[in-house]
Amino acid sequence: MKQLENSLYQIIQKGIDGIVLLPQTNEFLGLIPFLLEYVKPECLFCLLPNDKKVADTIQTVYNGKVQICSGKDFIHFNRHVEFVLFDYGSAEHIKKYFKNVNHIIGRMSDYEDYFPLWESCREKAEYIYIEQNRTENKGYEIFEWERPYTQTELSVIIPVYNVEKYLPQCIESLTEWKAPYVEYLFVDDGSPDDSADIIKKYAAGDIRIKLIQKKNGGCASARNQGLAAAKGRYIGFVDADDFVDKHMFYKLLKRAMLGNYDLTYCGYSEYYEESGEAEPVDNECMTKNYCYGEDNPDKVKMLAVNTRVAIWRCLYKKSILNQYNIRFQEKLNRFDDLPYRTEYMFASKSAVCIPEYLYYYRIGRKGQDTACTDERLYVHFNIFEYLEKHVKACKDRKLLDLLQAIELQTHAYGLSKIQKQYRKRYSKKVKLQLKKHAGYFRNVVICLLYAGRGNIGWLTKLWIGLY
Amino acid sequence: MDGKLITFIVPAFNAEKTLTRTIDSILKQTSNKYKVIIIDDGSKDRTGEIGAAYSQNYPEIITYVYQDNKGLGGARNQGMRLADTPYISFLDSDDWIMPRYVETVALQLEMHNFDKPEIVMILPLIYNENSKQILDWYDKRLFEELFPEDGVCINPQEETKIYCSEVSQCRKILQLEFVRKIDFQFREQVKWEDVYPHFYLLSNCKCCMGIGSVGFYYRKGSGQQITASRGRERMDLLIVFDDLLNYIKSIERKTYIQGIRYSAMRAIVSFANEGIRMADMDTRKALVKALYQYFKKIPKNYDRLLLKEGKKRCGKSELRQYRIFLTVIRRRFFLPVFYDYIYRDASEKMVKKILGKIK
Repeated sequence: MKQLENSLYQIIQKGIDGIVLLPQTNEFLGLIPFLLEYVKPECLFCLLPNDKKVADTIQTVYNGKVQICSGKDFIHFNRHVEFVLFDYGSAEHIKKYFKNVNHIIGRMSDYEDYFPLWESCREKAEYIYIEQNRTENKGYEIFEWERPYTQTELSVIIPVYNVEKYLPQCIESLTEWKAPYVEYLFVDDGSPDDSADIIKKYAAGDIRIKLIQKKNGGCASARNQGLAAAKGRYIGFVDADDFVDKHMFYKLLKRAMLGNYDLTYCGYSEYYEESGEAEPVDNECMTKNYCYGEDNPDKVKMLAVNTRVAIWRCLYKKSILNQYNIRFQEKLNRFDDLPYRTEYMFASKSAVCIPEYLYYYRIGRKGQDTACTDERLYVHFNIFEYLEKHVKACKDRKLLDLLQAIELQTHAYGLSKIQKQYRKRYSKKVKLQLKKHAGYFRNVVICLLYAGRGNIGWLTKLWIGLY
Repeated sequence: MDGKLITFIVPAFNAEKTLTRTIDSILKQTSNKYKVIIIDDGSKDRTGEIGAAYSQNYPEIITYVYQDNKGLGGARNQGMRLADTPYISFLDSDDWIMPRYVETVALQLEMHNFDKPEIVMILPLIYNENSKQILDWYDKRLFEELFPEDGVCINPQEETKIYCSEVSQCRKILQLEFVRKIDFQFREQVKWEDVYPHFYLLSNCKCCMGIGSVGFYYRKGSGQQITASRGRERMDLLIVFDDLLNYIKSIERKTYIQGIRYSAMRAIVSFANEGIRMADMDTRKALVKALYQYFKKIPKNYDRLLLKEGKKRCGKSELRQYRIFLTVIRRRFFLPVFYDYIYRDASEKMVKKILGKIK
């Protein structure tokens, strides 16, 4: 209630006439004396609740101090209402009677859904504030929304290069969610095939689809161009050869906005091209704590170590991307998503997970990045050189160690994948890079704490020189 | 004295974004028994413009003063010099208050007129910028134990628990006469200026009143506060600690010596611990070394006092933390190993593992 009062106070200072109250509980009625200090009684309307006891209280205590109305009165209501205050279980009335209100403040119980209310009022409202209870009486989360300059809330960026075969499935799975406040930015990275035409065909029937065409410059540059054009407050990425669950971005956005999370992510499935089967990928980061919403920055940073790179499973905040100037590194010719993701996770302060597998990652396509096993893997060194420089500027030992843990994991993967003739040189470089920050023992400690015990084996082997 | 009761001293340093909200929240008070002094601490942004505009629009209420940068303490000193109401309150430029603040305080002070409380403690609320939630203040439980209802007065010279409360100066409303009598000043150009005055003020005061629900909001997580800084400013802790140590050594009155020494030690250890944890790589080393030197100056029986009293008063994990800290900081050999943050993470993980096995 304190919280509600505080945000109420911010709005009411501006001087508002025409407030409608939708009370359901006696506790909520305590706001009336507070309101009367700022508003004249003839501007204060109160809808009688279903609960008889509360209705009686209003009629006996507040009769004359507020205008008491019933639902029918509002249908013929000529007065402009600027402000609605609602209690548990009365959000339905807003959708019914007050679609054109400027300010909405209220609270919801755990079984209600705030999203439809926001969707129906977002075009007219300037400020919406909702307190939604968590299940099992564990506090509440806050949805606070101010009208943005554009009508777009979410921008989904899809870099496209030579994927005409998979593109229709991707577009159809995305556009099945009909929300008008989303934009799909397809960035065609100079594909020689018909990809651009396919997008144009779909764009003709759906104004949310936008095509950006550019000269070929790699995936990183395509994503950066998408970021530059994005208008939404939240950013999502999809690869054009993958596809998504039709509810994916709906669920992600809904979760991200309630509680103002910096990072929102869901699980993903691997989709096997040949057999057509999808298999969910299990992950440590989908445990209960993260699903509940984690706002300890230390734990959020651990996500950078515990999750796979998969940048397309997350929703990012544009404000953070701009504040810390996080972009894809165009100089790196491969795995440009690793530094992006690491930088973002080190910068974000809260994270939340949706424990569902909503993204389908296609495996077995020819020419896929992850399929390489030769000297192209050397790009890892450039990536970490860049990241080390970036993280060192933060002067935080813990961040450096977390980065070391990521390095350990990535190199373990690289060493297992790389062909024999390149392995020796690769391992030498690995050792050099790992030594730069920590000696053997510290590396072992980092393995134990963050990177996983399994890495100690190859690390020891590397240090003795058995590769 | 034109019926004004309280002066809000608002030091502002590069606060153009938040100052308006703070001042507006004061101007919207239900009672008009207040004055405001905005002290511009050498800001380089539009803070000066905003402050000057306010003092022009409300010449009788708001005073705007510019001074070269002297830190938060220097700005507050200037404010105390200029104030002329019976009470003063410090309000930082990113906090704000609810409309009934002055009214509630005035009412309680009137009702307890005969006591003439020298310090009024309030219970702020924390606004978390990231999740936008409002949280309880850190020492809410202790506060409610000390002041079960609004307007209860206690004598800090008898009830020493009050020294354990959170040290922030923003939560104290001070009697101007009292402040002038004991010639109280903040140390200038020093960060963490709150720590020593907390003890100094309370131990000189004879009547302290508590008001729980006044509606004071403290903003957390905007990255501006001193608690979020990680660089050289952390070293200022030592200057503050020195003051504090000299002061508690000089106390001779036996009645409450134990209590005040215990809580001072507690504050020193927890601030030092937090300081080491938050400091960045370069500062951490210097800080640990300086703390090692500093702890040499503290008599060993203070350690014993902390642990002995701690057994009665605080939780097991807290006590363990103190014990480990004291063991480490007094032995040169341990310093580099333990005061790497990794020790903390590792021990946390171990404890979790052991607890898991017990279950």
